[in-house]
Amino acid sequence: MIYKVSYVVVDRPDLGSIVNLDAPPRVGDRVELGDEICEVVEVIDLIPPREDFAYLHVTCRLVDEGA
Amino acid sequence: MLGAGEAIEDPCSLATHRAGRGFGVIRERGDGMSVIDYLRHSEVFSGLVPEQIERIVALGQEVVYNAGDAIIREGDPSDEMYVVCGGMVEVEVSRGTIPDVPGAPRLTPIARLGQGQVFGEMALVDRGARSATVSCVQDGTVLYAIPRQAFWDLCDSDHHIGYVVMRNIAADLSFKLRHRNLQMRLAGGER
Repeated sequence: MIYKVSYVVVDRPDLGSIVNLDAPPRVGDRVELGDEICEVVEVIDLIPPREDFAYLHVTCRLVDEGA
Repeated sequence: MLGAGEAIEDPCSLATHRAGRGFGVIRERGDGMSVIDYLRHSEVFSGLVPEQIERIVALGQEVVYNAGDAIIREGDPSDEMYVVCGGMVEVEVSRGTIPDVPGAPRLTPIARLGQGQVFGEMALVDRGARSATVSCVQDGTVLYAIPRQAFWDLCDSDHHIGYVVMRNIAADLSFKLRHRNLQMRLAGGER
């Protein structure tokens, strides 16, 4: 299965990305978007899977590395 | 010496580089994947058998860009669709210009596209001018460029390929629209 993932980042629309992944993202994962490290806070099925593809939407928030 | 935009092709790796864009050395791909492998992992070619994908591969060429390279510019005429085989590109739209005021338009990033994604497909479908500027944000980003007219000719000669790819392009545009809607909703604080 190929996971086509839509990433959006709270308060940072410029970091939104679409990528294909071999494994589904999970809540709590950390991902690098642009030059920023973000944490996955929500994963939802965006639309039903078709053929070899699953379609996910992921909401992230910036990680405050100083916290 | 190559002129700007001229391509050189490496028959071993299928890697083709355009001169005048900050590189001139042919590089080998390190992951052992062929162009057909890359395209099979793109949703736009999902549902096609390898022989059909080979016919599409035969139409285009692989190009490599470095961070900061502009690939297409908003408003320019269009004649190619691109598949991201590796690396990352950024899509930006202008926020408008003031007439008679010199200077480049201010660009707003709206999305980044990574492996398996396509761009330039709107122009492939509607033949209009480029709707956004797309730039490379990662050194060594590998794209596969498919010329519009050759692709349309293939679709005319093989309706099954045409149907499958056009269905997939429609699904991809729908996915991008959903992504954009969710991005707008989040920016508006409606979550």
